[in-house]
Amino acid sequence: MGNSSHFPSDEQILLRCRQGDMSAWHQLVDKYESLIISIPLNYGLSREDAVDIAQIAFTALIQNLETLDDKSNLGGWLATVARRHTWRMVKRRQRELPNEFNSKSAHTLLRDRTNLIERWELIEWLNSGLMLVSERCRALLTALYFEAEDVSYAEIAARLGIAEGSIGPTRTRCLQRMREILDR
Amino acid sequence: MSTNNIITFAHLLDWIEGRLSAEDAANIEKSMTTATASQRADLAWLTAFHRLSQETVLATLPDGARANLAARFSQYAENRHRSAAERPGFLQRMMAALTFDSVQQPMPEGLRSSDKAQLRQLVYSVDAVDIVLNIQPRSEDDGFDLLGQILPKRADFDLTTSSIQLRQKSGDTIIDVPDELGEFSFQALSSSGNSITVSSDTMSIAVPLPELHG
Repeated sequence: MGNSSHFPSDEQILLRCRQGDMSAWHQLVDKYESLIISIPLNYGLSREDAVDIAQIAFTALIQNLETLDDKSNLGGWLATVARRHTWRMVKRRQRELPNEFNSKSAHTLLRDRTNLIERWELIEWLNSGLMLVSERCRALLTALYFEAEDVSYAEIAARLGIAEGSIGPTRTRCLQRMREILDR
Repeated sequence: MSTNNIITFAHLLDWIEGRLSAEDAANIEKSMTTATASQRADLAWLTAFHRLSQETVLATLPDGARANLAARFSQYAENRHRSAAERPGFLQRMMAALTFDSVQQPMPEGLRSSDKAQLRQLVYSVDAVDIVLNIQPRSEDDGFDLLGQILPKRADFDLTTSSIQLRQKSGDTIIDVPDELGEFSFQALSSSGNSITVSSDTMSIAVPLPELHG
């Protein structure tokens, strides 16, 4: 299944980014892009809006690299910016396109603040687990469970370079590993 | 598949995701009535994961967006050590000047001082923007709520890519981003030790807050 692909800590990434290390920047984006894009996507915004919001969040981070605390939770920081922009974008879309923008999840979650916070926390929990399993597990679990469209076993096998028959057992092992990591 | 000791994590996963035959599913369901604590915990975790996976989409940034961000970071990396004189127009750092404080204004005739204490307005200015802060004591505790607004005075200040960071006495930092009107907010500020930084692509503006009094 491959060695666990641990990302550096946020503190290490932040330190290296402040030194202008481009590889650290790529690691930071790799670590958090799925989390940040998932926030607007899961509120019914289009992929284009979600990508815009993600770019704004990462751009804001660049602007604040020098002033962030050394021990900042970068994922939490980015998620806060993404959530605020998402909230405003959803309300704007509802005003601009009341007949067309009718996202059930947005309506439900905007009305219920408690569920909203719980949902964000769950997505962050999920992302943290995916970041800590091996790259192969991350790719497999994302393809099986978290893509916008269903992906066939044949396509997954082709993407990952594995036998189609091994997807089931590998899925089980990956989920067990993710559970062990998140339960620590 | 009818005894507890062969109900594995894989069996539970297949059961939850509907890959078992009706007979096997019924056997699992029956066996779970006498499941061990570990098996019940596995089932609970898998159930939560399954529900979350039904509701969640994860995606990645397109190549063009990643390239844009890399270019911005590259610009930051290239310029971070250069002085403001060497990089005119890029990330100017400045301290905003307090140009208005409602507490310092003379009281209108007939207005009690307690009325004036409810809302305090501060206005800070630099060449590019005015920053208006409306600060109100909270009724539920000793803290303060802040509603601010960034008012660009020059076209080179882009609200859409700007951010506002509040640093508190405790060392905690909170981030907000302005809406299309430039408005932002923070809740439950303490009375002292707060500072705000307004950042955009081209400037970083420090806004030192005075002691806040209820």
